[in-house]
Amino acid sequence: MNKILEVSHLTFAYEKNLILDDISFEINEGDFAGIVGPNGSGKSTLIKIILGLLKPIKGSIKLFEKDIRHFDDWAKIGYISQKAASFNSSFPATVEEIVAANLYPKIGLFKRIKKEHMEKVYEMLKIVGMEDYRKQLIGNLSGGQQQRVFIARTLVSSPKILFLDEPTVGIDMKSQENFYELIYKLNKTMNITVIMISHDIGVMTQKANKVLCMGNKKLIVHDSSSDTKITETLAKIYGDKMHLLLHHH
Amino acid sequence: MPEILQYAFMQRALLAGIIIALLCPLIGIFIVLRRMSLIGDALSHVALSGVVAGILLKISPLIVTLIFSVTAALGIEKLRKRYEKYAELAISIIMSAGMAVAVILISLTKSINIDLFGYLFGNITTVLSQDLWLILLLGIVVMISVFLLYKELFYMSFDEEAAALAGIPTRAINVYFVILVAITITLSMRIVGILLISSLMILPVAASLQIAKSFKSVTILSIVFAQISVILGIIISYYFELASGGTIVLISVVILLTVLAVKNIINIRKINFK
Repeated sequence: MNKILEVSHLTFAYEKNLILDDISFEINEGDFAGIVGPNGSGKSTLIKIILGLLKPIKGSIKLFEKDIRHFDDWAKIGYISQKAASFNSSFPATVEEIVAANLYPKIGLFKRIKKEHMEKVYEMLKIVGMEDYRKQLIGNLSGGQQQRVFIARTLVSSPKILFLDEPTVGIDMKSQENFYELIYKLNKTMNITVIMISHDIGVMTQKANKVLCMGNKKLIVHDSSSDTKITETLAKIYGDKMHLLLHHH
Repeated sequence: MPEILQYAFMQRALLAGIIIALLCPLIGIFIVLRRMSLIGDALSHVALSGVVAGILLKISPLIVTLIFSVTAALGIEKLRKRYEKYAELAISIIMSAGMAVAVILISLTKSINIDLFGYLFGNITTVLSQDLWLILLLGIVVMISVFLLYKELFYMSFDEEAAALAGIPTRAINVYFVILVAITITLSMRIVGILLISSLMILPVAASLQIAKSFKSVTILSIVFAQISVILGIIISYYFELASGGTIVLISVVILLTVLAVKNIINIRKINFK
């Protein structure tokens, strides 16, 4: 299996405050990895470091077997941040204008958008079920619909790996359910590797084939080869009083 | 030919006006959407010091202002990096510095120069033909730049982090953009006046944001509103001998209020209909 992401001995601190202490893990092509852990355990920080938005003190990161410092094939990477849910909702742009934006780097500086690009936009909106809303202002959609548009925006540049940072914050239960189904479908049918931060531990333990548990500045990977139960690891990072209640999405 | 067009100075004023009424909203859209509305004010304070320096040194104030405001724009970008969490601080620092230099330079001139009033409040009779050439030349540079970087500036206004991740050279474009802002302010000050330039960047955009159905329509409507304000403003200020800057901006305010009022009426009708 192709290694898509390799993090080794990563250490990171905000000024003198140590956030991540010597963590290592690997993600393979086709993985659905969930990152769980309490608030402040460094989940978002970890993703930002992998994407080159923050610089680590020590350790190395390889994306598609290339050191992050020399990596430049950003079209392969899709990222949906927490901020995506809290963007300026009165921004005067239509759904298709937003989705087309991710094609801009591919089209290149100083060049105009063409018909074939708009066809690709339509195709991606169809995958997320939002093609009928393409002429609507993004601010007029519900939170769940906006998140689908952001997924389409990411898909339009044909990413191989998708990073999602708590994508379901502020979305109602029914939309959350549909959203997880959509991500699962992208992972299985389009073979897009998924790395998702979520507080929904129940869903992560069901859908993800790898769960990265973060806490106390460390990271423990859980997959089928792990010899301890995930509840035991989670109890360690969340404290003994935690009980895992699985519910079906 | 109507009387207003018989004078060469009026022809120059109208032509310059039409150009800046294209530039200001084009730049203004990105300023408003990126929550940088104050940058226009900061750079116009610096422009004031440029004008006074030009008058003192007896060099074309437009050229000196261009140098001052572009330098200040680069300073803002540099400071914005240093105070990442307090981005507006960079704008305030440059605004204070610009005003301080202007005040000192004005005190050195001993008396308030008549010419200075023209730059402060806008004076259509003072657009020289060399000014017009500079406005035309640099105006074309700014317009072509915005046209070519339109899609990148759009993405960066919506989500700068995502744009950077998608591979858009956001740093370089940010620096280039503030230079465009500085040039636009310098070119506009003859017509609108230093004190009111940022209004012409903000008000037409504010009005179009109320009714636009897409980003493209915001762009078109902002330009239409700015053109109406400037052309009408210049004509009215000619016939009634008013300061052109104030007249232009007041018309922009009237347009904004009209748009808000019409939108309110339509909304009330919709509610009643339901």
